[in-house]
Amino acid sequence: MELVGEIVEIEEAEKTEEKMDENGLRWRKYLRRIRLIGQRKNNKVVRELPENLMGKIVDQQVWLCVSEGYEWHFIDSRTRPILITLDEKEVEVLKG
Amino acid sequence: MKPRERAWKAISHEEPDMVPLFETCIAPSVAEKIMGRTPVYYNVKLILEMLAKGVPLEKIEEMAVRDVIDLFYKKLRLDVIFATPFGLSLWDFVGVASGFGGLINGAVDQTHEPRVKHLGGDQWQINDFQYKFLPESNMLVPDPPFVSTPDQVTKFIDEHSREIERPVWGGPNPKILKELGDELLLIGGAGKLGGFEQWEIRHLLPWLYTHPEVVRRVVEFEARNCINNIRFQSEMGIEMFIVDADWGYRHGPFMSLKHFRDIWYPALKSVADAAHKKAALLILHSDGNINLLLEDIIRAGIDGLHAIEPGAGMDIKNIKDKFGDRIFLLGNIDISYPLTFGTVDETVEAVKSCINAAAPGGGHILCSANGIHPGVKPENYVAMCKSARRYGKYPRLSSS
Repeated sequence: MELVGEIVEIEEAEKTEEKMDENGLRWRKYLRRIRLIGQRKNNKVVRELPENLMGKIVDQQVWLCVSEGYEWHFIDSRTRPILITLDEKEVEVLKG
Repeated sequence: MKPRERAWKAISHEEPDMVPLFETCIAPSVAEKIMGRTPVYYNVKLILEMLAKGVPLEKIEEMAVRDVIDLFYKKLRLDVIFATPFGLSLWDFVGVASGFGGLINGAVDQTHEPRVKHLGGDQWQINDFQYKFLPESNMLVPDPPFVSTPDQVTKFIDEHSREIERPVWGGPNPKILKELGDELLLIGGAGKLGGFEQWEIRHLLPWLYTHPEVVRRVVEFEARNCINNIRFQSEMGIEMFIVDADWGYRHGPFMSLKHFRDIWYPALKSVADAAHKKAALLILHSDGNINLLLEDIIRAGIDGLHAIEPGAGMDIKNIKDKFGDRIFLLGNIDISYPLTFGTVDETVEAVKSCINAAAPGGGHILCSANGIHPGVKPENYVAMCKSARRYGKYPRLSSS
């Protein structure tokens, strides 16, 4: 099952970590809070999930780019309905 | 991440390493500046001249394929390209260019070497028909048109309805499939579906009111042709198709919603169903403003939308917010301003704005809002590709 969630909020990781990539872009570690809202079927989002998963919050540790031009990394569902499809590993954690 | 994997991740609405790049076609004058040599690829006039001199189509095809590999893969590093080099098949000569393309797609016999003769000026003869070459748009149009009256169209369809049951249309190129199939996502052209170019605007549009059954027959015939193209090409390994619609002008669709639902919707649904039966995906290409039709187009079953023309009022951010849970988007750097008349800086700003609007969460492939026509400044197009790489990197999971 491919789970889909919306980004509820983005906050800096407890311990600030920053790095520079090979193109000179600065990346910082953040926590993305994702609320599960459905699953993908035939590449379309179906807003149905087992009761124990619907609405569950999944925390995702990510590197976001803080260089100019990367404001789009920080959009959350308070401004736009940005959906995230969770990868297999994250889905496995939930099943476990 | 390989380009092919990157593209599939985006199409599956996952976040790849960076926003994938696609382009339908690049005009030879622009390609020449990028490659540093004259391309055969999509160089309609040069191909006509070569054919008229007796150069075998196979030889021309070999040169065009080399151009495609050099231009799209080695120079521009695109992720998604057509598996068929433009400018090689008669479809390119008389299909896309002529208007009334879907009928011609299915009807022109491409099993033989085309007989090409230069008649002087911009006039050419291919097999039994005469054409005019339009240098400003790199296109050929039938001159005079193949058919002009409802009766002629009906007769044409009756006479050619069996011909679309066999693979006569210029399909995927085996060398491109072999050399790039594992690396890039190669897509196929399904064909034209009731679009409006020169011929259709003058004929089909008024016939919607005077001869609606003839319009229905044209659209149904073109849909059957698309379905057959999907069948033939999917057997060669193509997994994604573009259907060429062109249903909008700058301020709205050419047809009313009522006409669309009656004639076009069932045809589009039949093409989408045919693609899905082959486990393939279908992208709808349309120029112009088709906002009024979008809900119906998506309900018909398309998987992706191209090219989302900003100059015609197609707002990729609104479309992403409203339909991004159901389709992926391919677009939409405006070919009417920044790429054509703007500066490099303005082009880069347009790329940043497009990524900001459409890339979050995946489901976006960046390209121009149509194709790279002869008026596009080569330096702007190169800047578009480079800045997409510069500003299109996705968030990375901290475990990766």
